Amino acid sequence: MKALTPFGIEYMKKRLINGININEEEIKALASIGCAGSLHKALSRKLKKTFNMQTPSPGQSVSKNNNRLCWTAQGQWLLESDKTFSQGFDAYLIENLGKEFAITDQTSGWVKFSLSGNHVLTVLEKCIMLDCHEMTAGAFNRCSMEHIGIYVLCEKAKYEFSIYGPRSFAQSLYHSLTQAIKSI
Amino acid sequence: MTNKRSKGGIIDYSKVIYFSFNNKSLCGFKGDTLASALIANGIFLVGRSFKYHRPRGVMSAGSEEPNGLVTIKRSGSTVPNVLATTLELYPGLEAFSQNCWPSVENDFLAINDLLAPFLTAGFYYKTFMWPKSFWEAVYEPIIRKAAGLGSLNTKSDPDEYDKGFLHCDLLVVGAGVAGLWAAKLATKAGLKVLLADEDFLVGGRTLSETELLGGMKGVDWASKILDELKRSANFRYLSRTTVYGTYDHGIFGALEKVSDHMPVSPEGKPRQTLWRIYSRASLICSGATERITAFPNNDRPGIMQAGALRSFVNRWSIIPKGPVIVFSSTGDGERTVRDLLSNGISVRALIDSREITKENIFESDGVEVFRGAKVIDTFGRKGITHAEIETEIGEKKKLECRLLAVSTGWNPNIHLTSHHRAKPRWNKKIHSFVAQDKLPNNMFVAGAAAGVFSTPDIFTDVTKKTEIIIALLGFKKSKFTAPSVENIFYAQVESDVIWHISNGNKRAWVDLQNDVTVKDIQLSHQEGFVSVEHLKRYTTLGMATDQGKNSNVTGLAIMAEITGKSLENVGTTIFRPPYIPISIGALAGRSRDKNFRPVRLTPSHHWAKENGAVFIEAGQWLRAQYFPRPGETNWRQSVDREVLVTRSSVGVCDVSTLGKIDIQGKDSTEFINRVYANGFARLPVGKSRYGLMLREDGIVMDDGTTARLGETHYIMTTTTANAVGVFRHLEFCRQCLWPNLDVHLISTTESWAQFAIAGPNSRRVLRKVVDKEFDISNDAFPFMACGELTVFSGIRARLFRISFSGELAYEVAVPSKFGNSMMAKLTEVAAEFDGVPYGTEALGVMRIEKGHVAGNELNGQTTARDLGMAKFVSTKKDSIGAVLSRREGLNSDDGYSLVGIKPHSKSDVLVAGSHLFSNGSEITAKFDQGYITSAAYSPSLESSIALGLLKRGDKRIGENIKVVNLLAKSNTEAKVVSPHFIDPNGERLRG
Repeated sequence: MKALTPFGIEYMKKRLINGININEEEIKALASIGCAGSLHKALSRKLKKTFNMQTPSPGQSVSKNNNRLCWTAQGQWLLESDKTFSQGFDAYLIENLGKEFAITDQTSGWVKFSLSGNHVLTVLEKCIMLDCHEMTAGAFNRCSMEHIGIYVLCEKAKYEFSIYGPRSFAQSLYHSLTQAIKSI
Repeated sequence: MTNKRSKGGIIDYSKVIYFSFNNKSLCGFKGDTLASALIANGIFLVGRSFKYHRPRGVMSAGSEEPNGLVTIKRSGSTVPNVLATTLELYPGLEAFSQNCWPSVENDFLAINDLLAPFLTAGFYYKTFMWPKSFWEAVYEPIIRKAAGLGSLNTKSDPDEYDKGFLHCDLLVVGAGVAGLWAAKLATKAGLKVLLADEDFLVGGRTLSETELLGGMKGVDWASKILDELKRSANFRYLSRTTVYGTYDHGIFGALEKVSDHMPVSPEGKPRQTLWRIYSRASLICSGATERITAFPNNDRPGIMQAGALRSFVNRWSIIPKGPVIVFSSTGDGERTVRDLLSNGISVRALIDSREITKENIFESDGVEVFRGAKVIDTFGRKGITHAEIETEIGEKKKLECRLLAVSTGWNPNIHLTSHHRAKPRWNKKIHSFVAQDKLPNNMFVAGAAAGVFSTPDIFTDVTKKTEIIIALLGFKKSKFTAPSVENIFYAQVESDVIWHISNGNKRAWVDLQNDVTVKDIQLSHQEGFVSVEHLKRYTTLGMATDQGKNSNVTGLAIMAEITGKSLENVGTTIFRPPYIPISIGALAGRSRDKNFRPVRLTPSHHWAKENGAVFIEAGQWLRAQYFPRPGETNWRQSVDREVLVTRSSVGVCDVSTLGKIDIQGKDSTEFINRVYANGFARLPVGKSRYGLMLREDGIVMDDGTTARLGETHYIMTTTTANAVGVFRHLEFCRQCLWPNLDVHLISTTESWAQFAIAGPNSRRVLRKVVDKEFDISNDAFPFMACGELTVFSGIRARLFRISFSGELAYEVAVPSKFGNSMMAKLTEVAAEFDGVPYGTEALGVMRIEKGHVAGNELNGQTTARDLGMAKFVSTKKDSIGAVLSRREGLNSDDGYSLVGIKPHSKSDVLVAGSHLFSNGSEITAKFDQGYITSAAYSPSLESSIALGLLKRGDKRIGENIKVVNLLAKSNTEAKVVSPHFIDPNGERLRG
């Protein structure tokens, strides 16, 4: 069976509009990791051992060896990897981190768009209520766009951002972003 | 008749702009507004009034304008109620007068003015009473046609609109002297400053006056400050932007007119942008509006505010033909005369209502000054020709004039300060309302908006307030010396209070936009509408596009006088957002046409589209409703086929839209046992169970199945409609009710594509889908079993043996990215058994046939008992809603029960929403026995069938009843039956 993007195609959409690159990025592996407060230290140790990463503080993410760990809620993180795991990312994480943590595979549930360019902040202020001007590289926040819950990751301050949105909304998100880019 | 220009002002004479007004070609210059260009062209008659169709002209020079409303042609469409006073002139502008036919010069409905004695405030409440039937058919259509300001274009708006979000430490509203100085102090202190002004130039009132700031003209000083500020990275200026509303937590709404000053918006660019501004503090420097005084016939074209006339003379360099009369109760009268004379404009007289002894400084210019005098009437139909005055000693004189400039004081613009319902307070010193001292969300008011009217005082006031804000936000102030001010004029010093002037029965206008006179206010009082809010609604004072910017305070003052109260005791109305009219297009922004709201596409959407599916909106989802085949001429044929094939062989349906919640943690079993009414403590791993969720008040919230994949791992499904609501409810339970439970919730609705495979051949289909090593036989994988496996050679999947159709059925889930291919493969395999894909319509028919409840039954009013599921509410444990579900009121003997309903005649059609009545009873609400919740045509039974809620329904199986649809005026004989029309014993789904 073929894996398709949310747009029903096999390749990632890439466009340059008004000096802004808007690219759909493939999510190869994505999972949420949750733990009770009492297990936080244990999880930190396991993450350090497996991915050489510490759990980030609220509103932040950490990146190492093409893996990124993002804070999403109290006792909850989102881990993205650029590797593929045939048996499922959750299975790999359960095996390496342990069964005591709440691990849910979300590889297929999200669409990711990267936006970059000199006027990317002008685009983002048309779309989301976060103050992206103040986001530094690695900042990761939840907010909404056109009433759709999304995550915003600052890849490079004032220049490059990634938007993670629910897969089913991909078309509406893409339309909204491209319209905003055209309007600047 | 064209007025001259002085070649001064703030006009670019090198750029001539051609435009038209009422199809007459005219020209103006860059820097003009439509109002200034019309006046420069000698046009004072701009439109007709709302009710009496009296000739009206421009009265102000800003967004408070009540008369100068025009309709413009734009992008092949028309826009009504555009303010001539704020519309920048652009090449090719086509503007038209409103409220007139056949022309503004000769308006047929001007006859209304003769009927004025019959058209007083509230006349339509008292007249047109009989015959009663005429109101809707005759009177209302005629009144509606005659009334209104401009005509709405019913075509789609051709322009594009945008919206956005801005953040700042300090929002400064207004870029006059106060706003610019505040922005400078705050920016230099390091605050992130946002400055917004509705004009296209900074400077505010200083652009219209002759004061010198730091030795410079106001416009030059303002431009210099702005240029300086623009060099700071922490400063941002929004030109042509009106902050129209204040909301909670320091949030403001602002409308930026991005391309209203252009003939058409540049390709892809918006006409307007609606900004939501998040600020830590705000400083309102919105200036003041010159107030209106109601004197007889004060509404003729050529009568305008003195401040506006100074704007047209000083800023737009117009030299109108005189003679001009200036009527004033403040020092602004002399300022106006001085400015007019210095531009060579003939001034006939200064009528100063103040009884002061002062020499006539204009004697050498031939200007008569009448102290202690007032204007008691005006003359001239389409423009003022004479004003009648009454001198201090009661002598009446009729003076010739072409313009009458009126200056009776200024009202601070405090609208934004009262949007939080902070009532303004009366300031006796300036005879006006000002904002309360302490405003929410670090809001401060400075300058004229705070009732400070002289420029040197404004600098002092702004400096003080900005320094408070700087300290409040944790920054350090820098020292700056305010510029020197020369040519100062203390406008509101020694002012007289003059709200209205009576002269027999002559009408004096308080609200020019709504044609409200002093008499109307007196009538309102006479008829008992004394409260300010009642006065507004009875007379329409302060309504429509200007929202009473000029008239409200005057109206209140008149009411205070009539009631014998002081003005502060008569009360004031609260201003509400928006400060200026906001078009619906701007509010919608990019959310329009098919993108007016976000759409969710199912994982198999593209396959469904390729296969000719007809889609239906289900909440935000776009779902396949049915799949028509060649030869099928209506939807029923397609749906009947899909149902019959599924029941006889196999059907495949995308059910990914159902909410899926991943529940993990060592306390997950306890958690689920508490949120569901029925027991889950003993659900074994590898099994699913139907779950009924109640609200705290005992009413059913949602239902679904929950599968136990591991000791501490569950997958809960919800209805499509309640997916978000249930997840939010669970998070509330987890975070607020039981924070000590170790439970983790993740919505996986998006992650998994799920497909129902239903029908007697469903297992045969699945055997070709599921990888060989997994046993899905009835013994190994019985009804309600669940498990993780692989399909199509290694694709991970989850399988649930559950049924919504009542047939042997499964739901198989794969990662969403495989959803489209999975649907293609499943239908391909199903086709080997003559199976078909089916949509939501067939899904709905089959669940009604089976008697399963869905959204129509889970309507927020039903209990478990109503739905025949009383036993699901366990008495052996506590769960949300269990206690309150046992309330007496929810368990009365004549409560509703879910029943099936079948018409006696197969040709009769049952409709959802129809009401149920006992045979022989009266068809009135008193005898109502219940209603139909869901109805469908059952191809299996070849009859219309329905589910309904009937009083004592569980005891009335077999009873004949009447199904009444009052909308369609139908009355159908039907029988109460079991809600399980198909396979009541559940043999098929266990087979």
